Amino acid sequence: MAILKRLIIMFMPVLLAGCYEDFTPKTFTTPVLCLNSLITAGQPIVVNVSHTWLYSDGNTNSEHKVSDATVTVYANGKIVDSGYLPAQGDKIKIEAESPTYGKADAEVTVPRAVIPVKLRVHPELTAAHKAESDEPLEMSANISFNISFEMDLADDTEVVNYYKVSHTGFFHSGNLYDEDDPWGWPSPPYSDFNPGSLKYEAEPIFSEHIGVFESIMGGDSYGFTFFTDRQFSGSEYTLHLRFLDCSYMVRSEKWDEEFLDCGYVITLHTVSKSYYDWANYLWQRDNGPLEEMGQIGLGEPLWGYSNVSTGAGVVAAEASVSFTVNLDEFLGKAISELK
Amino acid sequence: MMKKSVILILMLLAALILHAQKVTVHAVDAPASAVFRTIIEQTGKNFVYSSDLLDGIRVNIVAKNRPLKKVLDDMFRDTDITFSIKGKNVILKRRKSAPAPQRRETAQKARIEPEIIYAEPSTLLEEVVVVSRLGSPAVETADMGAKIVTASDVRNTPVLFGESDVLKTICKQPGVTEGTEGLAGMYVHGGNSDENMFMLDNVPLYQVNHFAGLFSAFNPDVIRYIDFFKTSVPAKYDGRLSSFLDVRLNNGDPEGHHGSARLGLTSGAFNISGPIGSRTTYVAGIRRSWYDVLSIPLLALVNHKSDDEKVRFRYSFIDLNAKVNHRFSQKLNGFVSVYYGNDVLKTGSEFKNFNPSGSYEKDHYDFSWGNLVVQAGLNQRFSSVLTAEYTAAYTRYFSMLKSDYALRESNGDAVTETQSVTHTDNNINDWIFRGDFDWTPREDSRVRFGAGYIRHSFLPERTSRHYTFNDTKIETRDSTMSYGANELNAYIEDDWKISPHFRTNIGFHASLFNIDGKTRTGLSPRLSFSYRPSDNLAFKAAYVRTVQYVHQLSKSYLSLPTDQWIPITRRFKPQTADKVAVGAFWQSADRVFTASVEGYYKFMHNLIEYSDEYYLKPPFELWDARLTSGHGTAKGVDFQIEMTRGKFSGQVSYSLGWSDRTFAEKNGGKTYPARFDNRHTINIQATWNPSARVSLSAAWTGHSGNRFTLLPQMFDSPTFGGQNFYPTDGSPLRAPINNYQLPFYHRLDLSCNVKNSRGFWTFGLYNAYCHMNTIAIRRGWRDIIEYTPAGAHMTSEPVFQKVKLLPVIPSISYTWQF
Repeated sequence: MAILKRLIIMFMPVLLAGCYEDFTPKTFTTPVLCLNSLITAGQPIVVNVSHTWLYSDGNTNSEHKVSDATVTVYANGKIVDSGYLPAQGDKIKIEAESPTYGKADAEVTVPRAVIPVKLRVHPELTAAHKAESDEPLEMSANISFNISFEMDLADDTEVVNYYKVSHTGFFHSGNLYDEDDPWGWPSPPYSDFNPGSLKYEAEPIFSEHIGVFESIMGGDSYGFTFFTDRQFSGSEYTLHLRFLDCSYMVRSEKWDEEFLDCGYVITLHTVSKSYYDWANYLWQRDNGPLEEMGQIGLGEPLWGYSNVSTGAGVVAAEASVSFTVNLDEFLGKAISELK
Repeated sequence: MMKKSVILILMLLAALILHAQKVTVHAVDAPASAVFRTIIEQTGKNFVYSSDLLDGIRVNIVAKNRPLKKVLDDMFRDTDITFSIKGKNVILKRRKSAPAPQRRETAQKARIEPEIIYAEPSTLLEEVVVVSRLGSPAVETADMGAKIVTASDVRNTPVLFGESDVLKTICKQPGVTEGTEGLAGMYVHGGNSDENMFMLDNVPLYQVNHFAGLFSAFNPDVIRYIDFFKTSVPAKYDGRLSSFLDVRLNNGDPEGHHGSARLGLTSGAFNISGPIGSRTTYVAGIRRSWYDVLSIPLLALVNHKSDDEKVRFRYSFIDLNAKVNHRFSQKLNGFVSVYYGNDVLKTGSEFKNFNPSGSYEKDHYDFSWGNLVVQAGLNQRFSSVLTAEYTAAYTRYFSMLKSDYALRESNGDAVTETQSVTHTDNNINDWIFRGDFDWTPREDSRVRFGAGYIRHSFLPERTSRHYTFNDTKIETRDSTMSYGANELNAYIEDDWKISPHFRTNIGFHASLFNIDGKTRTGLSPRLSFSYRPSDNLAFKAAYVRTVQYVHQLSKSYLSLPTDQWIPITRRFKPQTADKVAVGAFWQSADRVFTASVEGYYKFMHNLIEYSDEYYLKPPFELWDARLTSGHGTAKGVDFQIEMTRGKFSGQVSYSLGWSDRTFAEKNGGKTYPARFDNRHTINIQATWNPSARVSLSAAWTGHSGNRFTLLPQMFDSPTFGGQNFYPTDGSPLRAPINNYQLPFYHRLDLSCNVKNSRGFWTFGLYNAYCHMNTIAIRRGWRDIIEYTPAGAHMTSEPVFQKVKLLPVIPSISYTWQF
């Protein structure tokens, strides 16, 4: 997808021909404190305190934790202890102070979870067949399907919301893989479920952060499920999640309907602006053109997003609502037609 | 600069009824070449003379309907010049008895006559050489920082790939900095690159680059000369903060059909001019790049290796210029001209799997961007003291980007088809109507005034996306609006020679810009003043205010089709700049040397830039949400020494400068140095013509390194959020903008023109001593291999690396003239 990026990358080496030269710039730097924390409603607050380092110090994988820092957490203006569980709407401030690296602080409000108005599910069977087996199995089936979820969101005009959607698959596994034979299949009974691949392009709002420049430089929304309510502020929006190439497999000497306990957990996270901005920065860094162009002098260099006073680290917050979608009925019907 | 220097009222009055060789001339203290131009227009004669013959010759003559010979007699009565009229040529020579200065004798010994043919209009490049050797306009006028760059200057400036380039030639001027090496950008007196107005015969051109700025859009083969103003600006120009560059095209040759064809490493060009009947002339030129032709065999090789995957690549640019002049009467001339420049890039790939499943993937990108200018004009002479020029023009900048991705997959019986098409447009359409008047009420005063109306239509960005998955179709279209704007402007200026020692140019440009329901006013006073204690020395001062209503947004330092020209809207005020300058200008008595020193201080207001971390704001929001407004200053001193003597000409310039910016939402609101805050800039350029057939040029450039934002520190990345594939890598900590100065930049370019009977060869060497200059500092990795008894073990460690660009690059081209 990266045409101009590809072009520039192709074009530059031709002209650059051995153009990188190691050197140590004469620059004075002072390490500062870095705070990282993801505050989740209903869970204890964990803060990682570290310090910055000079890039060329050669220890990027080493530990930068700060052990002499004092961390103070404020909730709605009051100091709270380690047993405090943040609630939705709480305003959290984290302060840290180290005799070596100085002070740092950051503030974030735990967002309120947004409950979708409705979630509709549309599975489409693409293939179903019995698997051949030397063993006498009562049930041996492979089911292939695509599935779409339509999630209706109603936006509150008063609040600017930032969202993230995530999903996981669950299934009744039965016997597990033999650890001594990682390449083999487990002995029946067992089932397996592949939730398929999410078609990010099927939901345009996942690419709302991608401009023309980023688009023609090769950026796409693959892997990015963050979005905002800016395009549907105060109104309803239907989010489309489409999974392709989903598959379900079951092998059992004796049929047990527990094996139909299979499906998706769809979670709608309401995230803080700092969380969204961090994710957006990561997209720019990993998929966008700005990082590479900045590195070779064809654009402004990109620095890491931060909402901490020192410019190092991210203090973010989220609240979430999850939906469990069980496919037992759909799979049961598909299997019953095989019998 | 001659155009501004003369107090000359050159009138073309009624044709001589009985005898074509009678002319009417009105010239006061004017260069002889300017009078020649008038005579050529009336008689069609050519003037043939040595390039140094007219040094210092200025003319006072008023003649109405007098024979040409009488007029020439009067002109050269008190000089050592004699003339003879032979057919269509007027040949000028120095009288043999006249004692000439030593330097002139030297020049004459080597001269092969006729060395220079002065024919106006003409396609011959040498014509303007004469102009530059007259009394220096830098001394004679009140202008500061003005320069006429001739076509031969452009041709003699060595450049990358040997492609003579207007913009890269201008970048040799003091106070002008080039952008990223070899690519786009021109920065004048600490301004930004979008603060320069580029015009083609006085009509603005928005897109002036090809191929990311590697080449400019001006075809050097059809250029007559370039007016460049960077300090004092004539009142007729406004709309940009830093400089104004007006490229004047050749007119057709009334004497016969001439042309040339050029073949270079990267492009070819063809141009032709001549008469159509007795009253009409034409000139046409075309230039086209060869990349697509060169890439055909490479692509064939690449695609030959794989039956499954076919790579697609094609890039080309084209410039087309055409101009027709027609003389309706002695008092009325008209012209129509067209410029069309277009870059086309097609790239991508197709993948076909020839197995029975027949999967197919297509990934195509099509880009097209460029400029179209169509204009028509009338030149009318009302009387010997009043002329007018009426212009109607249409200029269009367009950029179209299209991506087309299609995927067909089969999995057993199931076939899925996906297609995603994105189409983006960005364009500007301007309709321009203008009237310019030139009035000479007295011999010591020249008044120019005029008014114009421009209807702008801006479409900053419009994107539509079509996504199809089997039967599912999704179409989205962004909500970016188009803007219509009305601009009215009027100006007046008086170039007034108060006394032999004092001269001033007072002007005023006023404009109204109506957009988005709001009308902005731009008032731009202009004042320049010259005190000339002697013939060879002038002290000057100037104040200039400029107003800019449109600006360019670019996310990279390249010139790309994604760059957007957008207008100021309700949220932002027009950008303005106030500049004061003082200077001294000196010319040696023999006119061989000129020297100047010019100091300036420029205040820039309401500048517009992308704010820090602008990319975090979604693009569908109104584009100006990502911008921030601020101000800047630039100050400095430019020194320049020029020399023209016989076969040798050259210039040395040095600039000392500072430039900074302050934006509310950039760098935490703190002032930071501009990217091109180059403290010291030195340009040395020399051209030597050892014979009539050979011309050698060298240009050395050196300047303090550009400013760069170095991010030396890292911080631990949080482990949450999206696709953080490398959470242990750390993220760069923000640092003050442009906090690091890159190493001193320098390079030497050489070129050589060798004429033969049919044309000339041009050989070039860019970066002759192969000093690869640093353009950036990157965060890289160094591999370390340790050899132990157990074997080699490789590790990597982070290290800063200089990114160096462009080694020595030779070039060659041939121009065939006919």
